Amino acid sequence: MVISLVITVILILVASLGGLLFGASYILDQSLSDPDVLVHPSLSGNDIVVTIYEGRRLSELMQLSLEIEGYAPVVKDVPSGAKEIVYSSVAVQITGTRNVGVRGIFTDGSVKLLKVLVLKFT
Amino acid sequence: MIRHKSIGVIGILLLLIFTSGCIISAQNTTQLEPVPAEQINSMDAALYPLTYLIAKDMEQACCLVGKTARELDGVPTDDPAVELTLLKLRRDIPFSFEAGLFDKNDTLIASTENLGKSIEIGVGKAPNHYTAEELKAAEPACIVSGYSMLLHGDNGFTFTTAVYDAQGNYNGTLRVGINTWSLFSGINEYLRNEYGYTIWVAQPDGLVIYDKDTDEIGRNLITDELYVSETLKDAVELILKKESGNSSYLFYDSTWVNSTQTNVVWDTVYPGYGMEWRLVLTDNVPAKTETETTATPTTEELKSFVEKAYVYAQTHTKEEALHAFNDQNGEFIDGELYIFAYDMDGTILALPYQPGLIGSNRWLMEDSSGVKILQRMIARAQQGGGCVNYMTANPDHQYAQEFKLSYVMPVDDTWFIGAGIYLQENPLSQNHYLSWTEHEDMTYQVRNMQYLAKKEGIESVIEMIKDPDSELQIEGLYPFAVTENGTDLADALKPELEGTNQLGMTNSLGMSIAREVISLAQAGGGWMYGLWGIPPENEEEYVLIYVEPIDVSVYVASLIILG
Repeated sequence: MVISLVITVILILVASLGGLLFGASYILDQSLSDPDVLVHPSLSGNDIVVTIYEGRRLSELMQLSLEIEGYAPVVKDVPSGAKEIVYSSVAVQITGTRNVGVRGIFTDGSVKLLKVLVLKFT
Repeated sequence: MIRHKSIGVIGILLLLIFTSGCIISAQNTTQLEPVPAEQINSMDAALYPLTYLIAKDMEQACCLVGKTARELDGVPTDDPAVELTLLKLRRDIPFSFEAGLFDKNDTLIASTENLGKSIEIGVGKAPNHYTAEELKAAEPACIVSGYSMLLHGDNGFTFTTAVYDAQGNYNGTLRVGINTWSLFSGINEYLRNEYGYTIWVAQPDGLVIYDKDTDEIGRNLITDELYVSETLKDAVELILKKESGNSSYLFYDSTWVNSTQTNVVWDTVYPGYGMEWRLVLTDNVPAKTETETTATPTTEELKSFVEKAYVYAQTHTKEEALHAFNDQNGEFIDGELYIFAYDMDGTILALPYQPGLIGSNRWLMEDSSGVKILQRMIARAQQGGGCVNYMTANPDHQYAQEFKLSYVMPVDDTWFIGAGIYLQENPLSQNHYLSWTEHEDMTYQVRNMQYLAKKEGIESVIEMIKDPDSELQIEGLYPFAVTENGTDLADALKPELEGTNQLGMTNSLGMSIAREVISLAQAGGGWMYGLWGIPPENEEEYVLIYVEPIDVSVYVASLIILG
């Protein structure tokens, strides 16, 4: 009984997180005229390159977290003035289609989902 | 392989005809001028060998379909021989799409389309119904359908013939979908490059089944508003009424702005029972200019231009962004650069120099090599963006077909933007073109690997790829095989890659050839260009690749170096 309750709670949490991640893309769409930071992930071989464009909180951006569906997030520092962050070899062996999210971690400790895209790895 | 024997003869014939030199260019005019008899004779002389060639192709293809039907008579559907026989038939007709066996109720019961993405066995229905009597009346020829959308989603026509059970009773049909683009585009390229003529092909009901401009295919010459000029209406009436002849009409040149006199001669091809095609040869061909040393934007400049548009699209509504991209006087036109935008289904959203095409769909648009341009762009956009190559008309060179490099980016999961530059240093832009025999050789080699994999096993095919003297090899072509996970199983060009994972290998444009090949195979197969390091120096050169899946986990391909 307890085990099934725990499993149910975990399932609800996972579903909520998933909904939060991908539902947030809608909210992103609504606020893009004034984005926190505009970023774009693209696949190049086994690397994912996140290009950083512009945004009102660009100077506050400390780190970017790349989240590929089914894989643990990879966090990288964003040096001041960086135009792109390369996540080397994160796509090794990844095939098929997956959701990819990019979160920004800012100097005040806040975390914002900046981009969600469905990427076709093969 | 059907055409090879005829090509030499036709080439010599055409060479003799044209060395006599009597081609007169069409004049820019608003009134029809008389055409010298020598020019008509010259055009006729170019047309008739092609009419013969197409008729021969159709006759031989029809014979193969009939022969295959007899091999399938009385064979149970679940017999492995059925799939093998269908694969062999598809291999031997290089301009075919797929081959399928249908029961008496027109339901698909066996097919060469083995990934089953668009056709479901036991569910898919043939678009045309023929009675046993109609099929019998056509024998030994096949019934040829009109041009329409085929079961697997492409446009073309089908050969259909009856299949009988062991007792000789009618038991269903064998049907082969034919790719009209593949059938005619090689011939058209040959004519255009060597002699300055081009062809279009229409059914007697006015439906255009082939034109060098893909946007004209599928239009009806009688009813479409594009063909309303008086001279053209008169010419069309004559062409559709008479089996052969000559005429002239005023029609747009390749700029789609100016009107010019187009002179035509035509003849009729009977591709099989129940159909005829008017094969129309025209002199409305832009001259292919030599390479000029004009300043072309660099790849980096191209990428920056698209990224600027990407930022605009991300910070404005879709409507605002498309309005800006479609503005001929706006900030997204810069010299030869302009932004185009498409939905992920190939529907045009922004095309500033062809506003009349907005809303039309280019999902099936192919270049002269068979590369499905929009499908490759969409595949690249779905990887987050990157470079795509294809052949297309260059307005700066009188709309001659030239090699183009485009950079595309997805705005979101539903639409993407891009821009392109012409690569004048590319071999395909230097008055060279891929001959249709090379194209058919590539098709044959890959489909032969599919067939042999079913017949003798994948391991046997892998060994044949590795063996330079095996029956599989064709001079100038490099077969290879790769798994769904990117592992190179065998590679005739780079044997040292065997056993390595190729997903991470990128060219100087950031493209992983392996990921592209896998993506294309999983979409059912097809054609793509790539930039690839060629031994022994590993210097990058452009290659054309044809890919087909053997099953869900192993894909085979053939590569030709464009140089």
